Amino acid sequence: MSDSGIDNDDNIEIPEGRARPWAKYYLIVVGVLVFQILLYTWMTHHFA
Amino acid sequence: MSSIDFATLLFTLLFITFWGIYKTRNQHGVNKFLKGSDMSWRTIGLSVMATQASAITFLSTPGLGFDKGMSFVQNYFGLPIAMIVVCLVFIPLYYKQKVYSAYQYLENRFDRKTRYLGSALFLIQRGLAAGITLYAPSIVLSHIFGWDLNIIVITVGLTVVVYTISGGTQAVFVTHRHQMTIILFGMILVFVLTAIAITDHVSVSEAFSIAGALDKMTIVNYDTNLNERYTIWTGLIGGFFLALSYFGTDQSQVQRYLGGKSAAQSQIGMIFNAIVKVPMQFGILLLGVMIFIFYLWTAPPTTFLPGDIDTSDPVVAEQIKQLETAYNEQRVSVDSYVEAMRSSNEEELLSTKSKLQTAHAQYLVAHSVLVEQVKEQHGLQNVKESDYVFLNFIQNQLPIGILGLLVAVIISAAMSSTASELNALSTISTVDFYQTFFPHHATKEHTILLSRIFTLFWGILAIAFALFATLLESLIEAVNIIGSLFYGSILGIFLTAFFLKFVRGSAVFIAAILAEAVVISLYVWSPSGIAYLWYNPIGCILVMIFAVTIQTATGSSKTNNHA
Repeated sequence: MSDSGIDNDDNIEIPEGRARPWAKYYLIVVGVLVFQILLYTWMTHHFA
Repeated sequence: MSSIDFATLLFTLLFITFWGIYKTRNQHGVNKFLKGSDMSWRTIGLSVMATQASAITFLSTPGLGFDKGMSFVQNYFGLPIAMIVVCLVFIPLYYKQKVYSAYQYLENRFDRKTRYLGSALFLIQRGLAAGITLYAPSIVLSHIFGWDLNIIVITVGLTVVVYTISGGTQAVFVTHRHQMTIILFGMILVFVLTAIAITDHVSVSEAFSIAGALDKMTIVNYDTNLNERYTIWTGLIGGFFLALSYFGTDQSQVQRYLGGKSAAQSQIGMIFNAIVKVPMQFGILLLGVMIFIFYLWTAPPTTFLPGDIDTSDPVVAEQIKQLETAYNEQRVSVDSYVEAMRSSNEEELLSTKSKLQTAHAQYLVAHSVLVEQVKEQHGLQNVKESDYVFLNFIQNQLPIGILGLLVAVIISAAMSSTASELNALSTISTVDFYQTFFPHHATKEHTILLSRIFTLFWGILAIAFALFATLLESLIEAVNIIGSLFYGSILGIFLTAFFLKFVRGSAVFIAAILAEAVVISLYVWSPSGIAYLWYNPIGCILVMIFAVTIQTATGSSKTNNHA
């Protein structure tokens, strides 16, 4: 708990000093987006 | 509004405000006041979302879903990709240079005049926008509940000013967490209650099929027409540039992730936003579509606009009768269509679908005539009926207590966006202007005091603008347009700084002014009106092309790159 009262505890391991270590996170973002576009395209055709 | 609703509303807002003040009462550090350091990724993620989600998001978006369907969600398709670029390029650079404002970076990379250009554009644009952020929900609440517009604006505005002055950026973070929690909880609750209300009549799949038959389920549109406002291309390309500019260069957002415990925490916060934002917008639009479905079985009000309709006029009485007849025919058509879906008879399905579409079109015609009547009777010509659909639904169809919670959601959203704006305006005024003019005054106490004074100044200006906004309706539209016209050029300056390292300050400064002139000319003289999202990539790319051309033409090889 910081002195501001905001709970900063965290379950994710953050490697200090590494600014861009998570290619897998970016892949998840792209994957989720592509999945949504495909799902919404299917919904558009299915419910048209 | 019932006393339970009012108590819910008052408790929610007072709790957030006092919590924000209480939790930041003992902080005296410049870093915490201006940046709000040591934030976890959760706080950053929620704060970024709370800043972007203004009150009008929660008033207008369900109304947009109700009126036009789901296609607006495409506008957000570019956002996740932009978040990745912000994580990879913007955040590491800002952290490396330990800046308080995004525009500080421009001086390090180019020169002071480019920094002033970026900061000045931000102050003009956000200074006016803060007034609209307060005004837009206040006018809707004032119309629906009959509350005094000035009292709403002053109360909400001053509350934000008080806790932002008290705790600075740290208080904005603390309150954002609770505001966003209430917003998400309130919206999910309404979503579930509406879904339950619909399933009294049809299954979820049948509800979507009815919405699809009535053209509400065109979620993705692959049309390549440039004038089409919502397509996958405007969303992916235009939306990408808009989101990149907003999250990468707008201080009200940059300030959110500069307050992270580390660059890594800020990046995870942005990734959280990248994953959650599109489904959230989808859900809010779908809520509007579900309200539309709900009113196929439950008679809607004559119009959703505030103010009663004068039924003593025989012409109006006849129009209302026609509307009721059209509604009843539509109701019969919906039932027939549902029966056809359940019988799986393809021929009957097509026939009942066509009848439903015709009946709905006739209902819309009868409805639009009465909407015009009400607008004329009550002087609401500039008002969009769809903005009132959501609150009207909450007020009349959901249990007591939910209305108070939802008004708290809307006011929380107004407060969270305004707080970020005032906080950012104050930081830019202090860091980018005052401290560059009077560097010898930059003691810790002086900086905090000055930041508080600037917060008060911008707060009073926003309140004043909101109070006089009714007199300046056209100005509001102009401010919104100016915002979207400037974003591309500002992004162009930053991308030139990052990727075109041989370009110097004077070249990019002239390039930005030229590009802005071209964008504004396109807007003014474009014969058929290009969809507004396209101005973002156009402005950005023009700045980069002009900057390279001017730099090459002036022939200087001396670099000024500290990036």
